[in-house]
Amino acid sequence: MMFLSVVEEKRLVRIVRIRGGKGFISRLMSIGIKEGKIVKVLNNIRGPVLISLGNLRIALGRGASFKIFVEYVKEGKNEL
Amino acid sequence: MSYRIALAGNPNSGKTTVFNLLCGAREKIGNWSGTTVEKKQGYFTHQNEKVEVVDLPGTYSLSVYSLDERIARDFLIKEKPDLVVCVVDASNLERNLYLVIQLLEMGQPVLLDLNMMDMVEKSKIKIDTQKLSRILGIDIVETVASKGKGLRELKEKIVGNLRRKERKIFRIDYHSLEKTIEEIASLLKDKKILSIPPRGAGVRILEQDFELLNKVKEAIPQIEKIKEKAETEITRLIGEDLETFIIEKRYAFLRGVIKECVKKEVSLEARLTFSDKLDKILTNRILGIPLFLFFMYLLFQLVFTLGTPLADLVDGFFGKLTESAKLFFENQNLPAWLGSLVSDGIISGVGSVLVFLPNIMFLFLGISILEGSGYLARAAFVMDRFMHALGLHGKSFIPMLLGFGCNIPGIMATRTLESRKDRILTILINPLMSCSARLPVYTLFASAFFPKNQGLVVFSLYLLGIVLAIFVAKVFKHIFFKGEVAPLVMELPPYRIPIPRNVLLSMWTRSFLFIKKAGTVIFLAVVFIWLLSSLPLGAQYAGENSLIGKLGKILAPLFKPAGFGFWQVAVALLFGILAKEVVVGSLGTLYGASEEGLKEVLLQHFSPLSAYAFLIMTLIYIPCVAAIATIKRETNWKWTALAVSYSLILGWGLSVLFYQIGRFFGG
Repeated sequence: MMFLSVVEEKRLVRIVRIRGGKGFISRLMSIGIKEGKIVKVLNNIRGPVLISLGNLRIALGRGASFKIFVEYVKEGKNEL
Repeated sequence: MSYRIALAGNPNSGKTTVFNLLCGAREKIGNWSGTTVEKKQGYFTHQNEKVEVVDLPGTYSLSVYSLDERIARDFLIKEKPDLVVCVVDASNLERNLYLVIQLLEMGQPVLLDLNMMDMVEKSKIKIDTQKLSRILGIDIVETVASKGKGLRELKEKIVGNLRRKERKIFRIDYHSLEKTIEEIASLLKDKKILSIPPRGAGVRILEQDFELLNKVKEAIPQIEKIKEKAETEITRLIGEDLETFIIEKRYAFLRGVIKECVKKEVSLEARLTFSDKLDKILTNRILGIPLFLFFMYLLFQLVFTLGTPLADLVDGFFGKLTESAKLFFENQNLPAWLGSLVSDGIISGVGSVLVFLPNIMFLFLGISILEGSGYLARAAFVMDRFMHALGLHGKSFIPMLLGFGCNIPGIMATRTLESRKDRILTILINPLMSCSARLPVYTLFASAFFPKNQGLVVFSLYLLGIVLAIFVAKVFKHIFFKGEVAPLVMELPPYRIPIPRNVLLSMWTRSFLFIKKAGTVIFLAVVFIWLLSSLPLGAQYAGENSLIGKLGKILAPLFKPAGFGFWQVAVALLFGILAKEVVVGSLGTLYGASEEGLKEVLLQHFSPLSAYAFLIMTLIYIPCVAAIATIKRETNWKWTALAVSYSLILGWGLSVLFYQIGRFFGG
């Protein structure tokens, strides 16, 4: 398990846990980011990350990406 | 009978485009989340029915996090429009439908507008709209609002839906929570205190809608107990809190709907691949910020290299107009004061501001392209790390960038920020962004004193504004807003080639405001200044003994340490508070000259050093009246007073410091 903020570009990860207040968590959920979802890291500029979730492209700031724990998913196993 | 409908939907799904199409209106459209931060009204008539349309800010759900979302939610729940047209980005159906089913649960009559159908067709996704319509129990219209497709059918269905009275009841199965929901619903049904369906209200209360809970708490005191019991049970059974459980169930329902109704033939869209490729470069860790600065530099080059020759043409026109007006009044034997009012006052004053219309139009063209392309949201992402250092996050960057056009929409755009602290801080520093009204002042002085490096000098002032904003943000954050920054979570729209019509429209609407301002505020200001310059009778026009001369002389000593202690300049700065262009306009009136003539006069009064000190002052001192009013509306008197006083002190202090240091080094 690791922070989303340290994942390299092009890797697929599964969201394991989201820390933070209720507001933050349900904000993420309303966009579609929640535990169990698989996302791809498109871009990581040392903290802020750009991820894709299906058709969506979502920017997460430094504060946000440090609150999301993820684990690697084997490449190719899950299509997006 | 007249009806009222609302346009609701996720951010950036095209509500405003639909609104403009329906009402023939010209509201601003951008390719970023949060273009609309206020509700807007319009009308259309179809089959003899008059329909009022309210365009709402985008929202993902009925749970609110920011001010613009609250505006949307409050309207939907409290004002109860006759019909909600849910505008949905058809290429992101699952998430977009979330709001739709929430509205249906609340008993709202909904018409679903599947927008951006061209994108869906391009990406070879097939949506079975008939099935979708059957499952949700509502009518569906397919549109491509950006190309005007589907308008007729939309109007048709809106009116049809408004006339129809009976609606299907919509419900989602909440499994283990069903008993509790029904219990609350039957309690609510007996009391009849809410105007929304009891079942929907029950679900809302369970998902922590405290506003609703507080409303019914008095009538049904046992409700909190019931809720607590359900909470512990769900946590024990499933290990989730109530809110998460309910959201999960809705998504589970939606997943089922999508599986039934949407067939994908190709998994990845060409458009997204292209968008991602662009993002590889534009949001690159190393290239992102330099590229952003490069685009900004390009923008200013556009403003000056293309704008200035046109501005010279306009200036020539006003110069001739002043001359012929003077001649006309002399030949017709009209009173001399009238000739002076028209030529020295109005034409010189208003003309010296309107000269900059071409520059300003190019600036707005650039900003409109940035907005329409989707790059604006990327800029926020790229700048997040940098903004974090200021104690703000990337989203605060959009209001600041918009501030380059005009601080008022910049301040309004802070409504998309979730935390109040971030909002106030962003509002406070917004006036430091050089708005287009300051451009005439910069351009006039830069072309007079730094003809070779015009672009660079103006760019340096924009940069100075940004640097000061950083500094001020840091200080204020430390004094007033200690604590963590709300994390940035922002959807990035795919890049689109901006639609020329929208870009031109947006450029025109904003430029027109500038022209309007020249015709009203600036016109009145120059007439007033002319009047003060001509009185008392017998005093030389704009001379030391005129009223304005006396007023200026009181203020002038204040500016002596900054190198521009002339009374004309003091007056120009004073009236510049009305609108920053008035600084140029009043100099034009006081020296009775058009732009070329004005430059010569200025060269006699200023040195390059004091000219730059004056530009620093113009950049920083006091936001214009309209901006002050907007700050007041968005915050309160306390913060408004702070915004006015800090900028005045900072502006004066910095221009004095600059001038004195410059002189020390023999400038």
